Amino acid sequence: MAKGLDVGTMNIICATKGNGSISFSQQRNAFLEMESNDLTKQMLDNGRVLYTQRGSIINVLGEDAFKFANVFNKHIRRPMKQGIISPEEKDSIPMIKLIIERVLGLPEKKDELLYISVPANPVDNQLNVLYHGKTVEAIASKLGYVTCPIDEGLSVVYSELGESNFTGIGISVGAGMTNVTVAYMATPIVSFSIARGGDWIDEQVAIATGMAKERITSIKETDFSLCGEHDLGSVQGALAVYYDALLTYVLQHLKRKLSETAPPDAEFQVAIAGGSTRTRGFAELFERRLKETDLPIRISGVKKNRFNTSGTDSKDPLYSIARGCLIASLSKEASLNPASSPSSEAHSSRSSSHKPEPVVVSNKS
Amino acid sequence: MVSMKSKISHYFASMALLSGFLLALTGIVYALSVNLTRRSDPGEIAITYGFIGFGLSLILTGINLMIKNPKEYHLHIVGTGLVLNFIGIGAFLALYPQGYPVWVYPNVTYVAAVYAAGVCLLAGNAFANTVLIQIEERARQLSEIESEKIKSHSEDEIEKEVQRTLENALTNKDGFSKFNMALKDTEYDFILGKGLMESEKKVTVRDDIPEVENLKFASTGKHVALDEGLDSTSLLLARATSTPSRGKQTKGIFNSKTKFFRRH
Repeated sequence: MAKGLDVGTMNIICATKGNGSISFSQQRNAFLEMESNDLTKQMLDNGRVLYTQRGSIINVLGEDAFKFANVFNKHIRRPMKQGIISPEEKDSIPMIKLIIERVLGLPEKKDELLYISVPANPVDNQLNVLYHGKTVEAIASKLGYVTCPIDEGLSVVYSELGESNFTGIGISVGAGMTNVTVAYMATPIVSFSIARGGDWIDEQVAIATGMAKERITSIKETDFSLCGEHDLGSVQGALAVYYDALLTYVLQHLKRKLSETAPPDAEFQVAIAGGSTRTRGFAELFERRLKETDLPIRISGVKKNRFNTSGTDSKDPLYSIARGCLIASLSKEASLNPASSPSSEAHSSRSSSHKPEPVVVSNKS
Repeated sequence: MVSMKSKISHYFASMALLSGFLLALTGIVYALSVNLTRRSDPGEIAITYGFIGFGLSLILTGINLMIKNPKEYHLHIVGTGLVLNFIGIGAFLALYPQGYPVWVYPNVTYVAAVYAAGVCLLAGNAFANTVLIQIEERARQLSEIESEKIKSHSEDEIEKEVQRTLENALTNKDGFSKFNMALKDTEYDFILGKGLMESEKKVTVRDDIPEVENLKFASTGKHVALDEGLDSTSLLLARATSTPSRGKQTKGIFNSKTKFFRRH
């Protein structure tokens, strides 16, 4: 069965189709370096903590890296920065390889299809995403998958805008980057990224308030809302200021890019996804700023994702990109093997053996 | 086909125009024949300008009546203009020969204003209608050119082009390199902790992913649909067409006749 993989700066998420369900395996794309001794190793093993050991150095991986960083007030290390593999981190590739291998697992069949989200080239930076995309593809190919890259913003469109015939704007506000794709009938018209995301907000707030970045990240994810009022000089107030600055920046770039093209005369729905959009009140703030920005296209509305902290909802904006990759993957798989498509399976299970073959209806009539 | 009303209208307009020219010409010829000057007899001056005035009115009326598909209130305007001209000329013919103190201000101004108003109405109406007709004609021509352009691509061609674009967008790796980087088999230079040996926890959520079918439909234009009604109808039709004579053998008097002939 085909899979979808979202390689994000903060999270690496794999989506797999089950029987009427989707399974998401997720891991934080981060690690923390610690000194090794027998007691530490025993403690980590007992706590089922993910780690690697090289000599006297232990690298704690994933979510636990953040917990330890907060406890020991240490800086975590990130294999990716601004949406791509970090050139500043010497252990980035082995760590990212380890996390991808763990999240993806081995393919269930030969030449299993895998769509991997890759960011678009940023408009406000000289970064090029090609090396990052090829490296991630190579890691997955080595495991036995047949890989296909998909634009991150387009995967948001696939995941969220099926009801509007895949016509709309998919915006993924991740940790390292913000990806934007304007699509018409599943075809990308404008696609770009901005080298700012949740990490940029954390960095700016850390500079403004003098607190550690990891602490800011923790407050942002647990104790922050864009809805209410904030205390003067508080971290929450600074976070609100930089969230607003990021949204304004993204929308200004979107307006500029749209003015350079000739978009079709249609109504575009906006879907927002990505970990940084999970903050309460984000969609409302985005809607307000969108109304203030006079975009040269007709906007029908902003699709607000339900957010469920219990992790039982595939419409969680964090999972949107992986889900979009899975949709692209399943669609491609179905086009390659029409017999194994979900609709055919559903049909064959409902039909008895003597019934005729499914009828193919074309929209060309 | 040109209607009788239109023919009469055109004939009447031509006659008015021709009469106008003749009257104006008569006025000019008369002025030449009597060597008209400003010191000439008021009767001669009145006759001359009477002819020319009537002639000009008829010329303008004829032009107005020749306009095809005129705007609303066209005839009202022409009628009013003509009446004003007649009033003006009539007043001129009546007052001018009387000389001082009748043909002085303000009577002269009233007469001139009434006649000028009539001429302005007739000339303005003719000009406005002509300009509007020219604009409409140009718009019609442009619209015809546009419709010709649209007709040059059939609906089928347009649909195929849209289909091709969609297929290319979904199948080509636009903007991505086709190079595949092959990796060497390498072992980690670190030891994996016990936690990494265990399988990854998964979050499973209910989701039928209807977008897959929608995306297939958007990309291929084909939709696989289950139509049991159609299937059963086809089956019934097939049964009906494969056994055409069964009904004839079992019904009515013809069946008895068949049996009778078989026996004998």
